[in-house]
Amino acid sequence: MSQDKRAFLRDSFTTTMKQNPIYGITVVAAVIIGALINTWPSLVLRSIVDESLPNAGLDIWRLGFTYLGTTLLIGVVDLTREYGATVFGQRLLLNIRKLMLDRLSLLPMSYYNTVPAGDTISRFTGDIEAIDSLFTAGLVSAIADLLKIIGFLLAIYGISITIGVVATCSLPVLYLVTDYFRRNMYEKQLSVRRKVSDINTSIHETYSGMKIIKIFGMENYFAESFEPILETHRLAMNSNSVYVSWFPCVTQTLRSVFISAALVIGATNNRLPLALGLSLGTLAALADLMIRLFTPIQAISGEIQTIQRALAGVQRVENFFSQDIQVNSAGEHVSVNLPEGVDVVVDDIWFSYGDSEVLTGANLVLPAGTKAAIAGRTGSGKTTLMNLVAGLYSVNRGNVLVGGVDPFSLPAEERRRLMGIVPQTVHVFNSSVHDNVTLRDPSISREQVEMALETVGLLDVVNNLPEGADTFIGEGSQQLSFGQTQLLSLARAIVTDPPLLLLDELTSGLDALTEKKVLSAIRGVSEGRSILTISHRLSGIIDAETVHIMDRGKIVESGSPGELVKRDGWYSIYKNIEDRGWKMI
Amino acid sequence: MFRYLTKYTPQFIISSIGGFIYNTTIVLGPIYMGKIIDAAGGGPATQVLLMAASFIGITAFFQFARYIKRWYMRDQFNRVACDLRQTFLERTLERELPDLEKETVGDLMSRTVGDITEVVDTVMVTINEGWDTWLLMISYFITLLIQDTRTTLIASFMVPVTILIAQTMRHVLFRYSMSVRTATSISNSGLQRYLEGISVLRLFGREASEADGLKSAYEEQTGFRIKEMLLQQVLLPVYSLVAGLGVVIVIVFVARKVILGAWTVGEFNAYLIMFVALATRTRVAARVFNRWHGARAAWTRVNEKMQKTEESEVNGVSLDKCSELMVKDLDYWYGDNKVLEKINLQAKKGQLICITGSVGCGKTALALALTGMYPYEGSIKLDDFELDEINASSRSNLIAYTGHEQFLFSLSVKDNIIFSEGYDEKRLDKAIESSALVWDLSNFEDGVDSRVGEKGVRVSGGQRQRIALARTLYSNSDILILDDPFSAVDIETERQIIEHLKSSYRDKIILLFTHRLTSFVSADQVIVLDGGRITESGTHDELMRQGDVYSEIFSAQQFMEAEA
Repeated sequence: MSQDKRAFLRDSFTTTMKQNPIYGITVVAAVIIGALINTWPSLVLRSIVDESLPNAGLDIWRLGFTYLGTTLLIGVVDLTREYGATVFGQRLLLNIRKLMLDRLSLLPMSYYNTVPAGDTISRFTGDIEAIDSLFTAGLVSAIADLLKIIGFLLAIYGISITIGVVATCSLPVLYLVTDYFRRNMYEKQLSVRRKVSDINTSIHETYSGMKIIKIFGMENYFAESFEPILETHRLAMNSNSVYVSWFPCVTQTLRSVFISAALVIGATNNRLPLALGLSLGTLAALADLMIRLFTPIQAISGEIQTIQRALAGVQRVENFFSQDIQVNSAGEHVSVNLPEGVDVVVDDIWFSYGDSEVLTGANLVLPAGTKAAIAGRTGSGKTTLMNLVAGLYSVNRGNVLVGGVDPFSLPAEERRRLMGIVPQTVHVFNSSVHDNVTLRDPSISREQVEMALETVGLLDVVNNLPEGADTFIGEGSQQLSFGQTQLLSLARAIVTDPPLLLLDELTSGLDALTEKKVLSAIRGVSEGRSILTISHRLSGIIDAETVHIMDRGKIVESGSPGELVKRDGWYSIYKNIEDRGWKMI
Repeated sequence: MFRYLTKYTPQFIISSIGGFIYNTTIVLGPIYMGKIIDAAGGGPATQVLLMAASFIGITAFFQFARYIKRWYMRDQFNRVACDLRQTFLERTLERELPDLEKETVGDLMSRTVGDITEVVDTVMVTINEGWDTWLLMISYFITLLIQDTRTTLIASFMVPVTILIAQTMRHVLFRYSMSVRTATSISNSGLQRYLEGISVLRLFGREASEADGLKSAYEEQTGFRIKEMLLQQVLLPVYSLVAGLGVVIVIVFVARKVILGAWTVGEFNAYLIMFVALATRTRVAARVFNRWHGARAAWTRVNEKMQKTEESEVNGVSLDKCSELMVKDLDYWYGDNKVLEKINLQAKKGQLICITGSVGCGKTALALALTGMYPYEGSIKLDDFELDEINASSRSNLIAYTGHEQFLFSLSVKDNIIFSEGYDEKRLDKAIESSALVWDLSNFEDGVDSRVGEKGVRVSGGQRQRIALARTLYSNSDILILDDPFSAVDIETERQIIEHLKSSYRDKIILLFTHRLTSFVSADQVIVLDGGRITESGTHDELMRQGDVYSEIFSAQQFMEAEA
């Protein structure tokens, strides 16, 4: 497993490299060239001082332009590297995201029930961006900087070995000092973040509990208890500020010490014991090289930390990829005899989402071509029963058979031909009306969509939209009312003309007029189909031949509405309470 | 904003002095480095060492000034942020409840945390950039001018051009940033829809196609992001390069001076370094303005919620005891909807009044009206005083309330129950016992001192309700309003609690709002609401005899519990 964990990084890297070989090569080339040419301006400076100045400004224009040219070239190479790394990095992210999207369809429903959507979304956003910084701001820059340091050192050694040694000595000193500050700043930063989260918790609680605070007259108590939290946050900020404030000042002063050392040792003056007697131009070039050398040294410690932090993001994405995936036993060919209609048999099923049992031995039979309704209080297990019939989960005990087949093992496409499902909450996807009905299934024709819309009574509404069935609906568009989206959801279910319909709490939250429309739409599609409806309210039960009352995970009463209303049981009690406008407790 | 800044004037003055010293003496750095080069190129050894020592000393000096600037500036702004947050919270708590409930918690939080950070950071960064960019560039420029006016004027011609280009590019960059944000929010909301609609997609076998749609959204996002990043990162070095084009002029002109013997090589070197520094700095010069926009918006968001409200805290009658509650012709509105009409009821010390009704009948509205936190029409009298004329502190002493959402703070169980200043152990024990919490607390590791909430013990819904009930009971208020306090408590426990209420809190007026009728048998008075009006009222037995809605519902509930 552990070998497999980072496969996503390797796979997406290889794919990206194959798709964008030029960018990959450009980055590598720019890194290498960058290291080589960074020392040029200093060397040109030396020529100016040593060759041109003593000779009455010989070639001074040429040298001036060469100096400018080399700085421009360095700039262009850096720019190319950034460009290449940015494009490559972003495309790498895109490929990782695509891999993650493919993964989503393999995860079992239990993943979606237990992991909050926000958590998964943050895997796709924040954590992925951490990987981006690992690549662009971390690895590539670190390697480029490392090579630059080597380039500068080589140039300095080329001028004088002794000064090369001085410069080499400065490396660990500067690195350690920088690292000391960065590490402390990072730690303090973490503690600041913890304090910020304390502030968040505290104000979240205060604002959420506002009513109780005001009613009990505790405003001052909470205002005062906020003070110490803010104060510890301020102190944490300040202890971070100490490092932040000292940091550049210390490194800059150190830099001046090393530059001085290099110049003193390289001095032309022979009377100093160590003096090397370098030319003026060489001294100027050395000063220049030393200044340039310190920039990548300081950058590297930051980049190493970026890499460390980014690895935490990689870790979280890895965790996403190591989630257990679902194995549907969908392999073998399943065929259902469609023409004769489909029956549903629920035989003593037990089911739990976690610890608590939701279904405790539920039984139900829906003969082909008939209509049945399930009613019961909230939490009695109606929706769970429906989800099991739909094949979203596999049962813990017992059997569910739809047309003689276990619905959980149905292949995805087969399921849609067999049953149409209208869930409790309507999901409108951000796309056209057409795509919302077909769910982007290209095998569904425009005529089929039109027919489905016609059947549910939406065709006129859709034709009156600015672009007909191609009108974009979804977030931010107010094209369809709530009731109309219910009808859309129904059209989505019947567009493949399935012999079985599963309808969950279809009319909840609708006003009387829309409810009437939806009910007549359902009557329109019910001809010749098996229909299983669940309803919180008995008034939501329409034309059902059989009503099943569910309570605490099983069916407690069944029969035709006519029979049940005469019987002195659950149905009549429910009906009584409901007719009075009361809640079923 | 100014008020908060001027509160810390000493820090401001010290950091300003530091900033001024740092950004003016910094020019001595390159100059002294030039002097070392000159001395090393032939001067006596003492001169080399002296210059080296001076260079280090001067650098250490202005870097120290820089430290002073950085530290005092941060200290000041950390304090300002702290003050702003405290004031914001206080002002928010001072506001009236109906007004406050129009706010969302998320919005208030983002104002208290994010917006204040944004404002404070921007002001600090701006002041800092004012020092480290503008004053620094001016220092360099003046020094360069003094050293060689003509060369400086000619060589720096690209500097203003660069600032101008940067200004223009800002708009382009802004457009791309907006496109990135739009694209990102499209793909994010697409992903969210995917995750929320996962069961639909899976049931209809359409996951793959939806994922394809998302992939193209991500592709678009990537495209814009690349463009944005290129503009952001790639342009910066370009600015420096453009501003530095004058370097040729510097080299040629200054070299002539060296040849003529007017300048030394060290001076040449110093001039070159300062010029390059000036050119490099131009790229940040334009950046400061970018943040102002956001900061202004953030400040408006913070400030509009900080306007002081006229609080009538001290106004009104004080009252410390109440033995009778009298409601007459009470009307109550939710916005434009009249939810209570002509409510009349009377309750005396020692009575348990149970109020019930269908969904949306106005139970909660009546409970809230009686807390006195919301405006009402008609009359609610505590003894001889009208509720809305009683001052806030008396009101909170007289009336205690627990609602549907029993809110527990992340304090200990004990502090959640006491929830006031002062502490009376007997009263606490009585409240705990009456709320049937004794057994639960004995199972918590730290008993009554266990913390609840994120960092503490997990409490179940039923425990939560009973702790909130204990808070109400401990308060020693004369009127206890309990709105649906037992929905997650089992019926046996509910019975026990009602018994305790009847026996231990005989000097209170208790109003119990619920749709579960089990405990109504022990009520002194039962009130049934429907459509905001009282439809039935009397004792339990009377209403059962009457055989109306109440008796039917009561029997129906009895049936359901018996079957279970």
